[in-house]
Amino acid sequence: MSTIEIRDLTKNYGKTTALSNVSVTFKENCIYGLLGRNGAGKSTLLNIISGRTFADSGEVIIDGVNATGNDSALCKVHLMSEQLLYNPSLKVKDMFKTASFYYPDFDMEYAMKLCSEYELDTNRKLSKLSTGYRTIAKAVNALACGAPIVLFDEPVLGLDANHRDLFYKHVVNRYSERPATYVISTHLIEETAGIIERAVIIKKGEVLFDKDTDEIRSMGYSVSGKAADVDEFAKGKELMGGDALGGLKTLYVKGSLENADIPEGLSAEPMNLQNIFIQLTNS
Amino acid sequence: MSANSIIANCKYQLYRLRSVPLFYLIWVIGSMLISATIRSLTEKVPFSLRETGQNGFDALIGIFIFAFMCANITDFFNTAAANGTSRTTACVSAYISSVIFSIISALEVSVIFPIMSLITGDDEMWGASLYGVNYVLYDEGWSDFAVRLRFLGIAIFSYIALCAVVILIASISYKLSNWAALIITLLLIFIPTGGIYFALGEDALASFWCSVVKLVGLADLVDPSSDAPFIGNASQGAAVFIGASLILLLISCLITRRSSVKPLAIKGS
Repeated sequence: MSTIEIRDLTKNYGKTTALSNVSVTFKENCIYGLLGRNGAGKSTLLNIISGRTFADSGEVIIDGVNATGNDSALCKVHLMSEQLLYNPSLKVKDMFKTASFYYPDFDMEYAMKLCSEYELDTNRKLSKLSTGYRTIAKAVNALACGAPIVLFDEPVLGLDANHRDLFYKHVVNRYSERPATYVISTHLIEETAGIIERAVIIKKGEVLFDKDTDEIRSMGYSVSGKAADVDEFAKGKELMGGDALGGLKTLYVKGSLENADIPEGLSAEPMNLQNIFIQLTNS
Repeated sequence: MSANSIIANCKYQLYRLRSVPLFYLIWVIGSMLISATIRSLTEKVPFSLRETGQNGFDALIGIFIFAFMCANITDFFNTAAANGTSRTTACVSAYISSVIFSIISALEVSVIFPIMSLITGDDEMWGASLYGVNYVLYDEGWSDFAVRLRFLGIAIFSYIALCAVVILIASISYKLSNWAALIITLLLIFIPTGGIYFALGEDALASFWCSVVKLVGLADLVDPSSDAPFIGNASQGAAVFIGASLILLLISCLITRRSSVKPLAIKGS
């Protein structure tokens, strides 16, 4: 089992509320996308789950055990964050060795294989790596650690398109070989849309919803055409938002496209995850 | 706290400190060679390692231990946090590692010191002689083995206390912002020195330090009551060192219990 239950988590930084009564469950062996705008509270949530910072109130329960200050629960979690908590003077291979002290299932052979695929020199010190390669080193460490719960906070920060693509493939391959609970916090929604099974969307410190990605995609559709026709079609329908350009208009309508009776002259298509995210989180 | 986490932390911490015993050896050899070279050049005498030994080598090692622990302790906390370990476990593990590290360091001193004396022809003058010089102890009927064991014990317990001080300072700096930690640390240093002097006067300061010296088993040093050769109370000293270190550990655990992580800066980033 490797389930995380978040119960009524609240965290304030001075007068700023980072998380407000957040309750969400990350079920075992599932790839989650943790989505939210800048400052929504994603990193704070991941840091609290992994015990790097502490909530003002609420609980993090890992496999039925309160994780706050509890090693037996925390050792099931590995967080790959933007911050580098390993000593920057360590070589990449020494970082892996260090992680292997803590995670008995650390797969050194797999880590080395990934490093060679990314062309990452394991004899280089972490402090001497570029931002992108340091991200790769941390990502490889997280994928190889063997923890049943792996949290990724902006795992592709500074990576070029090729490395980002490679990373997503490695996540999927690793997940199929060795299922675990992965939570990926990212701003690159469309890139990760293909690998995440469920999405948790956070807005201003509160969970907007937690649904399967297919279910989210079926939440709405877009209708485009002449502004007057689109407005006529939208009458009485629940809208998420819209865009207008000259005399053309696009509206994002809540509901299933299959049940929608689209008039001639208008074009309709299912919304992608990023579009739905943007419409739901626009203030 | 779990045994696996403590073992993992200790493994990493001792792994990071693994080259320090080699540093001691390089220091000894280097300092002897440099002393002999300087003397040879300045006094225009042939190069010789005679009389290039170091009195109080064990005390010097104590300073090195303090410095190396200071340099690594934040990393110990961070690495523990990076790998699913609580702050309390990190503190306790650092303490256990420092006990092991102190024992290894003191054992190395006890091997190097006699060899250094043999090469340099100098007397083996331990810092632990503060609790009684070796020839006084011999006169009192102590065997050579017992004297060495006594020195070794005093060194180990004092090193552990030093490491506990480092863990406490690190805990304060981990919990607070850098400036606040600096102010608190300076206050901790200032209060038992200048603070007492300015607030209560010179006599109070002298009385405070006399009490500390008495507490660590060196009462006769500040209050000689007879002409008998001085032998300090080493077991009382050891008990105070270990007791104080455990109290400092407890305070450190309480301070860091809910501290957020404080990553080390990366040069150039």
